[in-house]
Amino acid sequence: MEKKTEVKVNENNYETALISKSLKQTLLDLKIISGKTMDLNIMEVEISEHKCAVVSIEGMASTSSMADLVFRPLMEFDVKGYATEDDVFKFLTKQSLLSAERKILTTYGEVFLTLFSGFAVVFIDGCDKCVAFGIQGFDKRSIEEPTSDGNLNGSHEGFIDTIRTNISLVRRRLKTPKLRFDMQQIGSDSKTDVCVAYITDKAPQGVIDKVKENLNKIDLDTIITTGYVEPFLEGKHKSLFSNVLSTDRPDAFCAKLNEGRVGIMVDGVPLALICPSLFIENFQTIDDYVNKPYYTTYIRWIKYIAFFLAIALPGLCVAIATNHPEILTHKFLMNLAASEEVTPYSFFFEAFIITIMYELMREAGIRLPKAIGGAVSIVGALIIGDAAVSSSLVSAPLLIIIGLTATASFVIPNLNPQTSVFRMLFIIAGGFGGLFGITICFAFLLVNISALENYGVPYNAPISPFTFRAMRDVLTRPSFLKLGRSKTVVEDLNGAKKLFD
Amino acid sequence: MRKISFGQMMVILFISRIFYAMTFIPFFYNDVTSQVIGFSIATALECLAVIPVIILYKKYPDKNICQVAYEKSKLLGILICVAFAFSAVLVVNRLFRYFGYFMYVTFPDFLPTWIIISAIALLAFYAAFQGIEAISRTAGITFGFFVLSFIIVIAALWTKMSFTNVIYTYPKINDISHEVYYEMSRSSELLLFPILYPYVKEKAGKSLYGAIALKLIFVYLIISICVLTLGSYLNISKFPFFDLGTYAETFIIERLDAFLLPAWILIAFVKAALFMFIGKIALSTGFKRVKSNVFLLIILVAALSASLAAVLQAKWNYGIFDKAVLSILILVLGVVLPLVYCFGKGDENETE
Repeated sequence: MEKKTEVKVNENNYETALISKSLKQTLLDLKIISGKTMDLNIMEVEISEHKCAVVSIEGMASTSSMADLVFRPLMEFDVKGYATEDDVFKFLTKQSLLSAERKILTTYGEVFLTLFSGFAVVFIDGCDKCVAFGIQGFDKRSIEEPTSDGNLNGSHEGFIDTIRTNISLVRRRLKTPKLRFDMQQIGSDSKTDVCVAYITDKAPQGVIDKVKENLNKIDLDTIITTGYVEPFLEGKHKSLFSNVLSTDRPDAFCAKLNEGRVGIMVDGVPLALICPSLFIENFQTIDDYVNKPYYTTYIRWIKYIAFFLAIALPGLCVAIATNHPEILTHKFLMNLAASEEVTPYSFFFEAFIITIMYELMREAGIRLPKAIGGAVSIVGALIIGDAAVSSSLVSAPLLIIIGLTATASFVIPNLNPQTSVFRMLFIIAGGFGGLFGITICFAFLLVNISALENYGVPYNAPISPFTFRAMRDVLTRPSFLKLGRSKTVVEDLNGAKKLFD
Repeated sequence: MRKISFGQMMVILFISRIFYAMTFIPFFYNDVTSQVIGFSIATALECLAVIPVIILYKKYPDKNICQVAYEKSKLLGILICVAFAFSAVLVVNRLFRYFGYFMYVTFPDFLPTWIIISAIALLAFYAAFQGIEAISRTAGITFGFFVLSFIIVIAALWTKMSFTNVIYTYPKINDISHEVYYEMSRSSELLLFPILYPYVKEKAGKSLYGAIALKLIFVYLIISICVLTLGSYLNISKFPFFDLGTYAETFIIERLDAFLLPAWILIAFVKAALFMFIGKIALSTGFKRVKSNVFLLIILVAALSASLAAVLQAKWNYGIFDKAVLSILILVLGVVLPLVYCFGKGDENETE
């Protein structure tokens, strides 16, 4: 740590600069560094005839906690004439119980980091150290039900935007000392808290080290959301799929930690990331492990079919109707021909346009306020559903296909970006190349997924490379009597050895 | 070096062979009895032919045959590397032409053949570029897809199979010898294994015999189903297995031929990717200073341009190149060369 020299402290060199012994100088430095920002509160007080200052950030610290835990004890400490500044410092650090979290700081860098985290910092004239008290009181969202990953029978608690609350949600579910949280600040300006969570005897050390190494490589000014961190965790391989899973459910997060994964939480985001992740995990929900195995197995297969329909159904229909009508049964073909006879455009073009319209409405529905969002559905239903068919612009069978596809895509929300893009690619491929085009697209998708691996774990494991024991939880869902006896962690998957050997 | 499992290797070798069984069963050359006997003899010969390469694998488990040759003699090593790459180009070229012919015959007026071949070539290049792990994982899923398609076809044809379609013919020595020769020229897995065995974690030799066993089972199954279902139509059918799909019918769809098409395409591109990959490995062993992906590009351009030149003239068969040259290369590179390097001290002995 460099000693303070005659060089004036400013916003560019403050990080390692030491706090001045003079309170007046310290307060001046604070104002210079912060540029006299209006939310910097400085309260100058006198404690036992010693000049002190309590500094906090407006809205970050709780005013009631400040009154009860900082000002009241400070005012009660009164040993006029006998106390030195060291006595006051000693009282603040050792003899008072002002708050649960207390830090001794020596540099302006530490001071600002704690101030912006909601601490109140007490400076004493003549003392080159200060004391910070954790009295965070900023407004935050209360714990609510997850919005994106709903369930019927599991927990209804979701992650919120505050990382420490999220950590407590995880800790409450895994009461083992083997669960570790390693916190670090990332982002040269935002200094966002990023926490790496893992269970020591389950997560491979190689993966933990690699995750931390990847996080340390992040060279960004700010970390606003998990999307800023994700590319650094994904690695260099360019894929349409993300091998980092995100969840807003603490129970799902804990389940993954228990399978030997490493979790990453970012402050300010109600989501947590999990790596390594598998393609098949996009089809697994927490409800799967609540319902009876036979029902879960059934629902899982419905989800697999939904994924297939969401990606390939319009493309397949276009391919068959345009290039391979001989496949269809005679009656079906006649019905299709009759409905297409009155429409002005080809089946391919209709499918293309309707899919684009569907994507437009879906995007509008997400971005618009909820009150207006409903109107989009009405417009969609009226314009596309009724007017388009009655005016013979599109055929009714095609609308059924697109409707079914849209519904199927809602079943796997995690894969929505991929299904949207591939649906369109499949339509184009099916229109131009028939089943050959569809297969070429499918093969590209297959290679793209097959080439992807994360922290030594193939993304399409346990299907290929095949791991029989893990496949039980893919094709079916065994009861916990069996799952508990032979749990499969990522290390056990075939092909998942590179980082672990 | 990134390794694959014994099962993945087995599937890779099987996929590389089954393409011909699906597309070209030349019943119109021989009678079925001679063909079955010829195929069985060829398979037995193949079981013997792989012994040298398995011994080589045991002697040099971490070095492919090109590396072994290069270390023994630099000049000869380079020649062998080039020969392997040339074989890879020949196999890929043959595959593109055959696939183009298959599409030309079964889906005429659908897409220009050059587009079909180019699409498969580019896809195979992409897969080869991703490496052996990506190819082996794709091959695993392709194998599953093939088995599923096979089961669906059998289920759809179950009621149409009849033993009255079986006509026994007396085998002819000439036909049997032809079939043995053809079958050996199709055994391109003998070229794959000497290059790929260092990528296998363990039991590489067993994966080779496993692939031969799988091939035997599926080819017998395909022949049996074709005979039981198609009967005398076999004599005029160009693609009997594909015709099974045309003949198959379910209550949902009228015929299954287009449904079988994806399995063919997947198998074709996986095989092409595998041979592009081994060509790249061979050349990068011989010419270490050049980046390996440059060789991949060279192999793609060579195989694709040769195929397109033939296809655009509707010249589907190269005759001597397809059978004689390839058979010689398979025999020399896949059998004789491993036999030569079997003798002498191996890596284990050297370290001892």
